[in-house]
Amino acid sequence: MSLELIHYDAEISNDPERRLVAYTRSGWPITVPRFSHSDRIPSKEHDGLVEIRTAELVDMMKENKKRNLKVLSTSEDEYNCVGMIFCSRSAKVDIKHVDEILRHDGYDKIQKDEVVAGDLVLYTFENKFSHIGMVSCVSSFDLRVVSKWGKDGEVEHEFREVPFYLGVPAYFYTTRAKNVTVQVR
Amino acid sequence: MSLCKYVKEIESLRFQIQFSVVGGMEILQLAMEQQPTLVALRSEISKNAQSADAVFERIVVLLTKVETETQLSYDESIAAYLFCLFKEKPISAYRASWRIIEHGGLWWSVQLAHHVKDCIRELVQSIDTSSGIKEYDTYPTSNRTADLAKDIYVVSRKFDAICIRSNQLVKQLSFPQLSSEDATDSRDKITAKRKERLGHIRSSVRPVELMATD
Repeated sequence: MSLELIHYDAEISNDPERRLVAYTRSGWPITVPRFSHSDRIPSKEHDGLVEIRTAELVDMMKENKKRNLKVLSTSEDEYNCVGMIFCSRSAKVDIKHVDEILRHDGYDKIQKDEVVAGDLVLYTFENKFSHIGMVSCVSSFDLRVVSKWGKDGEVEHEFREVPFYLGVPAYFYTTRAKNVTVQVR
Repeated sequence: MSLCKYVKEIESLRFQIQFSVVGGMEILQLAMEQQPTLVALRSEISKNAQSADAVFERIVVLLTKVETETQLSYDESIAAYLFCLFKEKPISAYRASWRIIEHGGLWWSVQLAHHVKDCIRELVQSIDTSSGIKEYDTYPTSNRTADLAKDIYVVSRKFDAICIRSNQLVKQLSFPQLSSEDATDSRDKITAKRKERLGHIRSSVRPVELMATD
């Protein structure tokens, strides 16, 4: 007998105690589950947990010859990669919502050579959206990205240097209008 | 590798941070499907029923540690154990998922526990819609505990019944018992009789049972 897990969105939306509504830039609401550490555990007990985990993660990545990592934040606030970019670091939003968010917020897909700072990189794992980050620096030999690694810290990294289960960079998105030239007088 | 070694690895910080970085439930499940230690643990659970009990006990122990441990949250470890149990021993997973939901205070474990609970309840209801598994979430907490034991028993009995019936069907389909007269019949007659018996077996099984044995 083979059992597969099912989605539970319907149940969450019917139970107000277990849902939290986050709003994207365009005002589009996303219902997210509300099962947080802070529901039960005083945050002081877990002070430093994110820092410990992020340090261990960076060490592990360095062992795998991934060295261009810079930890920017180890905040204990509860948000993830999608929440960092679209919800002002205020919510954990499942990556499965990212396709809809990009559409509602008016993002366009672009090629890698069109990318500038502020654009987005979308990662896939096994052909499913797995992670998102924001481009922080573009040069002729490097493309650096800031992203929140799940429950752990915010890290600036070379765009391909992410933990294995975050996948590989697959798509680039922007909100810049195409073919618009800004003239400075 | 022994069960102790699996436990030691799954409860280590290095193991937990592999999964704490993921951004969604679907990716977490994909990652857990592929992680070599979890693949090995699932194989161990499927071979040895005592391993399933031991994994269930580890979930209970870790739930007590969650509130006192400051260096590790064990969220991913509990989710990993629950995932393995669900794939190999759904009833143990169902029991564990209730413990995790009642405990709360975790991220992936609680989400996965809701998945497991809903999935098994849906499966049971699809087998027998007249059973009427109660909607616990609308219940006061005191009533939930009392009814939980009863419904776990109901679910367990249904799963046992399905497993026994499935095993019987597999045996009947694979090794049809022929009488001594059959031995003297020609090859064609034997084949015809087998087909007839198989047809009888298939027609006696309700569609839901066939679905459950797939």
